Amino acid sequence: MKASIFITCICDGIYPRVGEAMVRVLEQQGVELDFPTGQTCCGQPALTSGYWDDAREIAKTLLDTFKDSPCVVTPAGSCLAAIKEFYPVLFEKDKYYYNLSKELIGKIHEFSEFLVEVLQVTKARERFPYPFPYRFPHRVTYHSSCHPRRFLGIDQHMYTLLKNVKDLDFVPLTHEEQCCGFGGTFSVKMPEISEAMVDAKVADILNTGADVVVGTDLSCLMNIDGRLRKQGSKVRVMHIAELLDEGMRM
Amino acid sequence: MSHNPTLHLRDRAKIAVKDEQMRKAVEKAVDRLSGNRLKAEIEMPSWDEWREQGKRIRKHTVNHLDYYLGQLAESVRSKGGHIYFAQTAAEAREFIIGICKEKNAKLIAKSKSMVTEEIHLNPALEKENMSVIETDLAEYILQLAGETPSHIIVPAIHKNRYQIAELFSAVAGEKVEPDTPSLTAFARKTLREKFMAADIGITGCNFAIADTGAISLVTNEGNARIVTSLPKVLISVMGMERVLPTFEDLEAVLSLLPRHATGQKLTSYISVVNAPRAKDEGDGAEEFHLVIVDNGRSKLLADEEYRQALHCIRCGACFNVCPVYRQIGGHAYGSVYSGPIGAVITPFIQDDFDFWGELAYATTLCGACSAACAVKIPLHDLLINIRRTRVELGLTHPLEKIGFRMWRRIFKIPGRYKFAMKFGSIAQRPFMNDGYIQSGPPPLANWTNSRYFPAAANKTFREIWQER
Amino acid sequence: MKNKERAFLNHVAKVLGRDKPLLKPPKRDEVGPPAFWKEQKFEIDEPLEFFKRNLENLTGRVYIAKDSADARQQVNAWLEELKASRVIMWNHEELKKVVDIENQEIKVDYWTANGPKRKMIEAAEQADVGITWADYGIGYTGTLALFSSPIQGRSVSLLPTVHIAILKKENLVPTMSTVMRDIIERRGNNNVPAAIDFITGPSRTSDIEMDLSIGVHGPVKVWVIVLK
Repeated sequence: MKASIFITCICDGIYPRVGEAMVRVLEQQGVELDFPTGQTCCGQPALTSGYWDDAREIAKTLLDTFKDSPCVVTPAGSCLAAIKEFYPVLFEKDKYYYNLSKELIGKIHEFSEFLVEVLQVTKARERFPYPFPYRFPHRVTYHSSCHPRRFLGIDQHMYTLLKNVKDLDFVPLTHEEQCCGFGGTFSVKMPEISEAMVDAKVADILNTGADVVVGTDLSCLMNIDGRLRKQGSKVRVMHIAELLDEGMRM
Repeated sequence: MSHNPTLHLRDRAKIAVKDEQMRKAVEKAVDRLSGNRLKAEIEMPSWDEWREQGKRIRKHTVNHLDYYLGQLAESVRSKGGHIYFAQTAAEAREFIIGICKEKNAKLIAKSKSMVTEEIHLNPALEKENMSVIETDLAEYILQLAGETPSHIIVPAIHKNRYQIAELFSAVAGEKVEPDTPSLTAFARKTLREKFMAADIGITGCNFAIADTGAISLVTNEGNARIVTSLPKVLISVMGMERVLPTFEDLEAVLSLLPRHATGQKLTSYISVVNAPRAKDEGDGAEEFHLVIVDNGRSKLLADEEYRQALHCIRCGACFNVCPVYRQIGGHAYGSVYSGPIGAVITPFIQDDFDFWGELAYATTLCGACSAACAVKIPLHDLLINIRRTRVELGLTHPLEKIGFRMWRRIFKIPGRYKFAMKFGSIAQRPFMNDGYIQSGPPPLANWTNSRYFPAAANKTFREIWQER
Repeated sequence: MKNKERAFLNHVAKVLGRDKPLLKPPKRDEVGPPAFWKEQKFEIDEPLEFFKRNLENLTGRVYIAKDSADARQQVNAWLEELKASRVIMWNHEELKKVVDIENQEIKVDYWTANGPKRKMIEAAEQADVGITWADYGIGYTGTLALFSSPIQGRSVSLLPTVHIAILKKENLVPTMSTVMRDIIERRGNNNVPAAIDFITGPSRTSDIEMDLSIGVHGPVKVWVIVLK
């Protein structure tokens, strides 16, 4: 199984350890990975702020980079959601890039979706020599990010994965459908509202008594982690790749 | 509290998030209403098919609005009713005041109508020395308090029972107890007297039926029934998109509206008012005037994407799921129409994408509104469209424009991008503390005031990969 | 006025991309509820079961009378339970056959065609109980459908404290679709009532702190006798 990595700028620059964890997990599952160096960013900040001409240029770079990859995997749910939601509209007047957009959408997967749908790791016993090799003996709750939840249907994959991790004590998060308050530039344009929203999210997380909150989207996790750290909380905020990576070595 | 705010959105929001009582009340209301909607969804098979059909009906109607409004006018006239087309709010007010003056109206009883708030009708009538009384319980409370609605289904949700008791006691001239039965009994008795004395009834219109010329009112209290049955003259005001082709379409939309609004199968009263009354009928209005209002809606109609906002059936489901509305309540939006739908239509109604276009930034684009919408309006997409429109109109901050232009130049070329990452990683070192930037300069301060910002890593992922 | 109308509709047509307003009915695929709704079938007793359950869930009462005599007795029993002293009812032939108020102490007013309007409305306002016939009952939602007419005054189901309705079982239909079909047929005969009231339970509100309150402006109780 071969796949190209779309690392996304936030993972590249701020959370490379998540990328490293993802690589270790996928390689252990027998995936041969490559990293097309032409990649930069999906263009989401410009897309959501309304600067579509600027976004278009960045999107073209991305589409050119992954043109020849048969399969792409990314650790960021919201970047993938942005590509799916916007690229076809962004290029509706440009046949060439419109087609490339459709192609990319057909072959790109978010990490948890890749594990469950493509590699079918939870059906591991029949298909692969390795059993589901992750053990994580902690109390964990799951933050379901808005875009992956609503536009990619990620939740089902995450629940499947978490259910199969040995010794993991899963506790559901109340008001899980409520946004954490990041929203890109929203967090700095409307900081008071953003703070009220992340406070509500953090309160729900602390109520679960979980040691770890896991998610699929680095922007949300950055937001929640930032608030928890300011409050001096000991709750760990982890990307699913980090959780499985740590779980591999247990 | 007013619909002429002077403060900008962010400042209004700052005030709102500090109002603990309001936030608690809003949370209680939206959780209850949303929860009931979800129960209704479980109870009703093929929920999504109904929504799809609702979307089809509204889309067809709005796309052929010229036909259906023309048909509506003919239908109303054929029964002996009167119809007025008002391009602007001022025109609508003028028509209505004209009729009231002609009838020498002293007391006007109103049932809840958002469009009459939109056109600022009450102050205009009062200026002409006519008494206007709101009869919907929440609107009556707000009228006494001199405030505006903060939610389209439960307009006075921000008021608690003690505040309401105080308002009622002032009217009664004696203490009214702050318990629900006492407050309700007081309202029933007081407003009954007004109903019996009113010269003119003014209502809104949930949906007008084009092929018959009837209007329908969807209520729980009964005041709309009374306002349309007792006064001799009935004036109904409607936004021009509030029309449906036939009664069959009404049934379809009635299967969506109460369930999405409150989880009810039907509200206590669906009043189909086919005014004026028939000859020899003992009650019902003798004279009927229907006022159809544009006030910026044709601008929404002109754009194929924005036009979808006119499909709205005013159920309020989007309010109840919006994580921003939950924290700031309705007044912070500053507009008659708050919540996600309000953020989309207000710039058009106010003809102002600058000040009112700010509402499009009171969102994280989480998409909950679009997912909840009874007729599948892609609200979050329309909010992005408003941001795009602002960029096209040159209304965004010049620094932001330059910022994105620079970002584009850097991120387009991998080499430049790599350099920028390296630069950022080094430049932040003075601010770093234990892997985080705990306190940053503006605009980063907007983040770091409440959160730590993660420091850029020493080595980017691609550097690590290269070294494998 | 016609000029304003013309200008208004011309403008709407223009923004929709037309030279002038559309005059011919536009083509439509599906009208009204989704196909599966119109095609659904119900067991013979289901509408009555649904009606009783739905209305009772909303604090309503439903009594199933086996004949007119039974119904007559039940109405009197209810009036006694309610300690009613003033009643208003439609001067409706079939209704009067079923409702025969025994208690002489109760003042009964009638809503009549061409009656004294002010007096009748005041009588309704003062009445403890208003009694009407129901043109339809809708099982799916527990709803009564009342059509207005010179005899069928709206105030009778609206102003009194309690609303009692007599509903013939054969007029109890599964969904609103049947009622809408009737209205559409009447439209063909230029005979649509001036008011059609769909009443689902008593008057209510949650405007005060989301606390449910029954009986705001309309009746606080809705009791129905289904006549077999």
